[in-house]
Amino acid sequence: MEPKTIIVAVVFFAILGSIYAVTYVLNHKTPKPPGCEDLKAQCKGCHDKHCINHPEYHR
Amino acid sequence: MDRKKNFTAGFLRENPVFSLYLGCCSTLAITTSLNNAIGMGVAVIAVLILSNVIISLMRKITPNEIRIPVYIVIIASLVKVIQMLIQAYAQSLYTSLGTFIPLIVVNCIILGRAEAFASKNGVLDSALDGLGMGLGYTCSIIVMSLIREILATGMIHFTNPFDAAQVIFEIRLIPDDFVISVFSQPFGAFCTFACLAAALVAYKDHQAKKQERLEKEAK
Amino acid sequence: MGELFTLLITSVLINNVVLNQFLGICPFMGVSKKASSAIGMGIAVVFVIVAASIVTYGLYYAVLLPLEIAFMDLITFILVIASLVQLTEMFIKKTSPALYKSLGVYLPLITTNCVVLNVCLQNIEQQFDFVHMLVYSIGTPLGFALVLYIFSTIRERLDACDVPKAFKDNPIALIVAAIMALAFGGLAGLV
Repeated sequence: MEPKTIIVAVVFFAILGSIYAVTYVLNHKTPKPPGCEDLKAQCKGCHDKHCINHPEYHR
Repeated sequence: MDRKKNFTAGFLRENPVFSLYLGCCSTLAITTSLNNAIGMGVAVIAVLILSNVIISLMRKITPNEIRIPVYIVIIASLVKVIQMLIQAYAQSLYTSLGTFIPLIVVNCIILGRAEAFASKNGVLDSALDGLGMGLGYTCSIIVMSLIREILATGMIHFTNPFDAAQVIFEIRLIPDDFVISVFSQPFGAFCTFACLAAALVAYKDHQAKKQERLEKEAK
Repeated sequence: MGELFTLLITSVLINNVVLNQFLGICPFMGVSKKASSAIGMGIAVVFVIVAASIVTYGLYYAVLLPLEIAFMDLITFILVIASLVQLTEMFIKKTSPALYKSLGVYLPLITTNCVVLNVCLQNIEQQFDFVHMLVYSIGTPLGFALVLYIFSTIRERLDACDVPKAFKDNPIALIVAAIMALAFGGLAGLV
């Protein structure tokens, strides 16, 4: 693979990654609307207690 | 002792497929034949071990807020590499697994193990955990695909993944007139999955009752 | 026009994403215990899939192919889907608290949903043009939402039934899914 393709791929990945990082940080900075702070997804069917969305997840 | 307990957890106690219901999508779709099951199992083991090792190596330097995006990117790159390897060396496996190879990225087992284990433990422990869970997953899908293949086609058929023309073994167990072909269709897939999951629940229940009886007798 | 309609019917009913392609089983079993959460998840998925398909389709044909980095498709699609989910969540938080209350919780779950990634990959693999891609990416999540809703209504009644102990909770739900798959298989005669 020529070096040009690798450089283009890395630059493209960096752009996408930074867009994702920016949207992620912006999303975490916007506060949840009042009354919605403690919502939990109603997904008790899946038994994966390590999933962040599971109601019984504690880190 | 703790390491051995972690390693064997993936087989029966915390079976990722039938007990935790992770990775169900690929389980139901792949298990139509033994070839597919073994091929997918090996791919998942490879991705699990490598991703666990890499994430465990990086656990001290990833900031806590963006750890999930970082894990997803690492797993996506690994899966792409594995997909290209399979496309190059095992062409028949590539065509039969189809879109389920890229879907290993969103297979809940891999992200779940990374989040639960690899981000908190050392490299060797994480690799062993990856191997244990991967082997548990592979054994589960092999069992399910054996049942489905025997009932649906009457024979067990295994070809060399690197060279589709070479048949390694082919055993006929049920005569052709008595096969139940619905097992190769969605109905059979869901039914087999449900029965195996129920069997595991019954087994665990039985073990728990035996344990209780032993404790009562010890008193 | 007829071809587009056939594609729509096929992606909603005949080649249903949950019952025939076996995708999205995790939310199918996890989120479908109440009808209201099923509707919330369904609407969120429709929106994310349509937006993600358009963006990934555009990126693939406008950027990845001309620059000869088509091997970056998997990473690109994942990052685009994840960013879109974050953007959608932020947008809903700011504009409509009521909407956030009903479906905001399910948005992070959609990032690792098999259906979204598969629709993006299939758009490329089946070489759709723009209109076909739109129809496919509207039909598939509609089929998902439909099956999720039907399943949740059945599951609400299943809790009150006398189920064998080993089959309680998930295994009996899978048997119900098996019967639904059989029923939907009969719809193949529509086209």
